[in-house]
Amino acid sequence: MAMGTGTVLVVIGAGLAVGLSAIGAGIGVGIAGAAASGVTAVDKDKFGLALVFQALPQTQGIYGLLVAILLLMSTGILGGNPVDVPVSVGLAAIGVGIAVGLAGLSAIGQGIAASSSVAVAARDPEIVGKGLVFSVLPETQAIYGLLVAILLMAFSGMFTGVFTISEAVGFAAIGSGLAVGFAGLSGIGQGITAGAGIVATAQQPEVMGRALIFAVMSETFAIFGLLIAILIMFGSGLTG
Amino acid sequence: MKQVFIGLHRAYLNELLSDLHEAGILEITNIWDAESKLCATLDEGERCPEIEKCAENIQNITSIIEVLREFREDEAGFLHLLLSPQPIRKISVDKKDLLQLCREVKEVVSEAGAATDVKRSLDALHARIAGLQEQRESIGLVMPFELDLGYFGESEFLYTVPAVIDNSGYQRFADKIDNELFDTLHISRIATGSQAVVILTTVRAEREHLDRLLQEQYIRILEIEPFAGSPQEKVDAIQSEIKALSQRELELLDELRNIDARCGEQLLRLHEELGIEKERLMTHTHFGWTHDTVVIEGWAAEKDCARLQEICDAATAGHVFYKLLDPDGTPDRVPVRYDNPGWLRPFEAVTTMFARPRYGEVDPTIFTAPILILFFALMLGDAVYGLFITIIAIVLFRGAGKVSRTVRDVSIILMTAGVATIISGILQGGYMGDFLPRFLGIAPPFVVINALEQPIEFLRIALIIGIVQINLGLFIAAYQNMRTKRYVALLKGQVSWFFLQPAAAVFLFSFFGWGTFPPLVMAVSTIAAVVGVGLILFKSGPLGFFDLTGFLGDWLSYARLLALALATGGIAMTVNILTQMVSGDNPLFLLLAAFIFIVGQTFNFVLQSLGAFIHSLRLQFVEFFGKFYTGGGREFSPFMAKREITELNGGDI
Repeated sequence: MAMGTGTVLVVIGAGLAVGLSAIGAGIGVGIAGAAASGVTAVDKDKFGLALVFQALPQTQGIYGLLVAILLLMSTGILGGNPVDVPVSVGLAAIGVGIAVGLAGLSAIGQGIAASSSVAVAARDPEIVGKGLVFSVLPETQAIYGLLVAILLMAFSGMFTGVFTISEAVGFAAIGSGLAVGFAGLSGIGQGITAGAGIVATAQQPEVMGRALIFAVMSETFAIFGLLIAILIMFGSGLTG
Repeated sequence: MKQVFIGLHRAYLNELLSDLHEAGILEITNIWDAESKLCATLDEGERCPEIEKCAENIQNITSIIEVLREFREDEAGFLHLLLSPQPIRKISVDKKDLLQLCREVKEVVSEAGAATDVKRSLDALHARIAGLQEQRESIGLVMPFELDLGYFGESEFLYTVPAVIDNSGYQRFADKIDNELFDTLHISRIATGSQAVVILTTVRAEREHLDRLLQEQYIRILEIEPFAGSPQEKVDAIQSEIKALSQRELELLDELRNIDARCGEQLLRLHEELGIEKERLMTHTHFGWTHDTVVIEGWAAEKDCARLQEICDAATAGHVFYKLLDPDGTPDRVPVRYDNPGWLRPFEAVTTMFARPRYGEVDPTIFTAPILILFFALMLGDAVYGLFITIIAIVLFRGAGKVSRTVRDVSIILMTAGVATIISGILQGGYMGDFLPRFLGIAPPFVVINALEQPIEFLRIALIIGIVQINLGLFIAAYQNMRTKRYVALLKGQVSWFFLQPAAAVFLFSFFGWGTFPPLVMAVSTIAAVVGVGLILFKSGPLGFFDLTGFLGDWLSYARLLALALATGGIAMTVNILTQMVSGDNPLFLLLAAFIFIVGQTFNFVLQSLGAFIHSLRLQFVEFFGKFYTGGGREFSPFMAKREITELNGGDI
C-alpha cells in the first residue's frame, strides 16, 4: 500500500521526536560522561555511581523514542495494520514530534547538573541522593514536552484511530508543540543553576531548600510554554 | 527535648559516666563551648593523663590487628557479605577500669606482639623473592650468549655489562659509540622481537664513560649478581632459593594464623573496650569543676528523663543534684531526635536526605513515607517489575539486613515499594509492558486504568493527587503558623491560597466549558480571587507573580506521574515489539529475540525503577516540602558506648 501524505507527516513527526531528543540526550550524556570519566580515573570503585549519573540525561532520548514508537504504531507502520492517516493528523504528529523533541534538549542542562553531582557525590557518598534530586530537576521540561505530545496524540485521535480534526487544528497542534518545545530549552539554564546548587549543598547541607528554589526558578518559562500549549489546544478546538 | 544539668561529687564521676555511656540517652554538651551561664562559677577540667596511656595501648593493639587482618584468608567477598553474612557473635565483658584493661593488653601483646616481627620477616622475604625473580628474568635474557656469568662486572682489565635496547634505537646507539671513540669497545647483540640484548665490553678505565652513555640513551642495564658459573647453574640456584623462601613464607603465615586464632578475638575486644574508655575520659574537659563537684550539661529526650534520674541516683547513691529545663527560644541549639513508630523509622532516612527537622518543626516523615511509595508504584506500574523489587528486598532482608541496620531499612523500603508496585501493576495491567496480551494472548485481569490507553484519565488522577498533596503541605504550614501564633504569615502564606484555589477552579471550569456556575458563585469566586491574589502580592510585591506561576508549576509537575508511567509501559512495549519482530522460526533468531527481550527488559527495569524513585523524591522535596518544611535541625548525638562486638554483663542500665 502506498503511503499517504498524512502518514508521511506522521513519520516525519516520529523522526523529529527521536532525532531532536537524541541531540539533547547525546550532548547531556556526553557532558555527564566527561565528569564521570574523571571521577573514575581518580577512584575506579566509583564507576557504578558515575554510570548512574551519566545515565540520567538518557531519559529524554527514551521519551523521544517512546513517542516515535507510539506515532509509528498509530499509523500501523509498526505492530499493526496500516491506517489511512489524514493530513490534519499528520500535521498534529509534527507538533507531537516537535514538542517532545525540542523539550528533549533540556537533557543538556541535565547533563550539566549531573556532571556537578557526580563530582561531589564521588567525594561524599552521603550527597548521592541530593545529587540525584538536583540532577533530575531539568527533566521537568522534558516531562512537559512528553505530556503535551501525549495530549496532542490523544486529542487528535491517534490512540483510538478516530480522526476528526481539521487541517487548521493540525497546524495549531504544531504551534502547541513549538510552545512547549522551545520553552523546554529553559532546562539548560536550570541545569546550570542545579549544578551550582548541588555544589553549594555539598558545602553547606542546610542550604539545600534554598538552592532548590533557585534551581526551579528557570522552570517558570517552561510553565509558560506548557500553559500556552494547553491554551492553544483548547482555543483551537483540538479538545473537541 | 530537655536541657539537663547534673551536679555530683567528683568521687562518683567515673561510675556515673560509665552508666550514662552504656545507657546512651544523654547528649553531653561542652559547657565551655555552649557558653553556659554556669561557666563563671566553675573551673575548666584538665585533660586526663590516662588518655595518653589509653591511646598508646590502642596504637599497640591496632598495629597487631592490622597485621593479622592483612594476612587473614577467610575474608568474605562482597556478595557473600550481602547475601549471607555471618551475624556478629558478641563477647560478654565485665566492667573494668583502665588499669585492668592495660594489664590485659600487656598480656595479650606479649603473646601476639610477635606478629609484627613476623610481618617484617615476611616483607623482607617477599622483597628477596621479587629480587630473585628479576635476576632470573635477566639471566634468561643473556642465556643465549652462553657466557659464564663470572665475566660480568669488573675484572682486572675489562668491564662487561649486559643491557636491553630497542631495535629501533640500536643504530643511533651504535653511531653514538662511534662518535664517542670507544675504540676498545666490543658489542655482542642478539635481537628478540622488538628488543635486543647486548653485551658491552670495554677496558676498565672506560667504565664510567660507558655507564654515563647508557644512562643518557635510557638503556636498561641488566643487574646480575656476581656468580662464577653458567647462567643455567645460576637459574637453578635461584629456583632452589625461591623454593626454600616459599616454604619459609608458609611457616610464617602459619605462625600468624596461630597468633590470630589465639589472640585475634581478645585483641578486637580490648580495642573496642579501650576505645570506649578513651571516649569516656575525653569528656572530662566538657564539664565544669569546683574543688569537689562536677557539673555536667546536656540534652535528653523528655521520655528518657525519668530513667536518666534513676541512673544518676543509683550511680551516686543520691549524692547528686539534677535540673531539667525547657529549651529556650533558639531552636538551632536544641538537638533533634526522630520520634516515629518502628514501621516508619526506615523512611526517616528520606527526610534526613533533605534535612533533619528543626526543633519544634513538624516531622514530615509520616506524610512522606506513604506518598513516596504511592508515587513510586504509580510511576513504575508494572507487576513483574514490582515482583523483582520484592524478591531483591527479601534477599537483602534475610541477608545483610540481619547484621546491618541500614540494609534492613533499605530492604523494608524496597519491600513496601515492591508490593505497592505489584498492586499498581495489576491495576494498570502492566506485566513487563504488554507481555501478556502480545505473547500469550491473555487480557490482563483487574485492570482499572492503563496509562497508555487512558492517558487523559491518568493525568486527571495525577493532578488530583498533586493538588491534594500541595494542600496537605499548606495545611501543615498553616498548623505550624497557628501553633507559633504567626497569624500574618498564615494569612499571606496559606490562607491566600485557600481563597485563590477554589476561585481558580471555578474560573477554569467556566473558561474551558466544563461547567456553568450561577452568577452568585462567580461573584464570590471573583472576590475570593481578588483577596487571594491581593494577599500574595501584599506578601511578595510584584514578585508575587512568580508565586502564582510557581504554584501552577508545582501542580503541573505532578504530570510526571503520567510521564513516568507511560515511559515504563511504553519502553517495555517497545522491547516486546522488537522481540516479536526479530523472532522467527530459525533458532538463531529466537536466541537473538530472547537476548533482546532479557537485555531490554532489564535495562527498562533498572532505569525506570531509578527514575520512579528519584522523581518521587523530587515531588516530596520540591513540591511538597516547599510548602511547609525548612529543616536544618541538629542531630541528637547521645553519649553512647559503641559496642559492636562486646556486650556488657548486666548492661541493662
